[in-house]
Order: sequence, then structure tokens, then C-alpha cells
Amino acid sequence: MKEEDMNHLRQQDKNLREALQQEEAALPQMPADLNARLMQRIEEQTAPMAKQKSLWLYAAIAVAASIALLIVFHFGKEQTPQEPLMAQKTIKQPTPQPTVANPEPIEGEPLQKVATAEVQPSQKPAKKQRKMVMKLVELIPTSEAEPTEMKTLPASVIAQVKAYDQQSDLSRTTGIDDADPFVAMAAQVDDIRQRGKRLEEEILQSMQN
Amino acid sequence: MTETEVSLIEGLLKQKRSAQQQMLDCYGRDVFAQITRLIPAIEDAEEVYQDVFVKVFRNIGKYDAEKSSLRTWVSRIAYNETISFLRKKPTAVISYEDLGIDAYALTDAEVEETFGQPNAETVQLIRAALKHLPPDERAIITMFYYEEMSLKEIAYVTESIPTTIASKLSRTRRKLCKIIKMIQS
Repeated sequence: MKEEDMNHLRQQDKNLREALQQEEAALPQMPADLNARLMQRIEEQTAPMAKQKSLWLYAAIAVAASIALLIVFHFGKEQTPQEPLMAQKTIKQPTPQPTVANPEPIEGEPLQKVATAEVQPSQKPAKKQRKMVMKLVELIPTSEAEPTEMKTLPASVIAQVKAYDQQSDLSRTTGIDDADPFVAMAAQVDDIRQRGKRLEEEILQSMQN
Repeated sequence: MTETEVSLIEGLLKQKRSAQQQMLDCYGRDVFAQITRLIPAIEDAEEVYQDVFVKVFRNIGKYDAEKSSLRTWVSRIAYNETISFLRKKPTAVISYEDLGIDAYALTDAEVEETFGQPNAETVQLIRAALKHLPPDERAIITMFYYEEMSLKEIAYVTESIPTTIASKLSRTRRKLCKIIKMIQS
């Protein structure tokens, strides 16, 4: 049926329209305070929602802060092998105590023997010192350059090795150890070896001249 | 859409109390009447009324001015809430099917005479007969004859199509006439 026909029908059905008008007039009146009650209900519903929103916000901030702290502590701990050495070079530290006490070692003696046999306690407990030197020994063969030479490193070189509890400024102030001292020691050994080589070359050159 | 409606919608989107109050003042009475037509119990009608406006305020962002007027959109929410309430809490209504009036055969002329010839007694009979219609049919009849809504608007409110509404109206009109005949007999 078309819209026009329906409109005609609407005009035609007078009794039906009259009946509906009477029905509408008989409907109950809307309570005067209904809108006020509704507004109160809406306010009651929105208030806890706002509270919940702020709670979520605080929770999100707390989570973000903890993630940030984790990142800071995790990445702050990671240092390149050069960093402890650089710190040692730039900051003057109190005179370190040698961990390997053998002022006149026998030349050509294998490193392992010296390291294991002649470790003496200085300021650190003996166990810790031994552990440090053992770790140093483990590090030497893994060095990329000339591992065979490293194995036969003269004991005189080892005598010059100084072990530090190489720590950053932050770790010294906070008391949290964040550096690996053995990395610094390995770098030292490498440095001594290079210097020895240079000296050897210079001597050979002077002899030739 | 009028400027008043635009500012009203803007206020509702910002959840302004003044806009919400204005909305209730504009459409509250019509919505309440729409609900009480189908839900006579005043406490239930009040509950549905509150639910309707809570929904309106929450979903105002979904209102599309191109699809319908604000009044029709509110009417749609009210219709759906009322029908949902009646489904959950069915009221005791003697429906057309229970009356066994299928046996009454009617011609178009008889139907036109019943509704077209002004008669106070027939008006009362129609009022009695309206109570036996299912809620959705009663709502459609009221929207068409009393609120004078177009078929398109009724279709939007009831989530249907205009042709379906037209055939439903025609069927309901005939049904009403049958109920009247049965009451008379």
C-alpha cells in the first residue's frame, strides 16, 4: 500500500483516531519528580565511573613507572668492556693492592701455574682473590688475538697485573656493584702485552742500529 | 535539524547537566506517554523511562541526523526498551488469537463503516478492542493514527521497512474490527 493511500486511510478512520485520543487522555500523568530522580540516578552512576577512571589512571602510571625503573636498572648495568678501563684511566683511585704477589717471577713460566699457586691475600679475602685470578685465567685463552701467545704469557707480565674492584661512580655511591672487575683485568693484561711487544721491537731496532 | 537541536546535541555530547535537563523537558512527556501506552503499571513505566534516558545520554554519539530526527531516534530507543521490558515481564493480556475470532468474516465495506462513521459507542468499543492487541501492533496503530508518523518513521522506530508497516497496519485494522464484532455479539 502506498503512502498516499495510507494517509487517506488515516483521515478516513475517524472513530479510530477519536478512540486513540481518548485513550491518550486517560493515560497516567508523568510524576513531577521523575526527571529529578532520573538526574540523581545519572549523577550517582557517573560519580563512581569518574572514581574508577582515576583509579585506572593511577594504576597505569604505577605500571609505567615500574617499567621505566626496570629499564633503567637493566640497561644501566650493561657496560662495554672498555668502560671500566676508561673509568680507571680518568679517575684517580687509591693505590690498588696487587692480587698476585710475586715481585720476581721466573720468566717463561706458564701463566696458569703462577695464577693458581701464588695468589696471596691483600685487602680482599683469599677466596675472593683466588676466584678473581681464576676467572682471569679463563678469560685469557678466549681472547681473539693470538691465543697461543697468551697461554705462554710470561709471569713477569702477570706480576704487573693489578686487580681492582672496578666500579662506576654510581656503584660506589649506591653500594651496588654494577661492573665486572675481570673485564678490566683482561683489558689490562692485553695492554701490558702490547706494551711489551712495542718494547721488544724498540730493543731489536736499537740492537740493529 | 534546528539550531536548538544542534546545541542540545552538543551539550549532550559534553554530558552537560543543563542539556540533559533540556532534553527531559523537551521529550520526557512524550516518552513517558509512549511507555505507559504499553506498560500501564506506573512503577514499571518509571523504571523503563529512566532506562530510556540513561541510554539516550550514553549513546548520543551514535545519533545520525541523516537517518532520523532526534525525536524519532529517542522514540526508537523508548520502543525497544518497552518491548524488551514486556518480553522480560509479560503482562496478562487476552490476545486476539485467544479470542478465537478468526471465524468472523469481514468485508472491506464493513471495516470502513466501523472506523469511518462517527459513533460514540463504536469509539468505546474500539478502546476496549485496543486492549486486546499485542503491544507491537498497538504501538504501530498509535504511532500512525495518533502521533501521525509516516510509514518511514514508524519503520525506523520499529526497525522494519515501510511496506511491512503498511501491511501490518492494514492487518491490525481488520483485526480490531473483528474484535469489535466479537465484543458486540
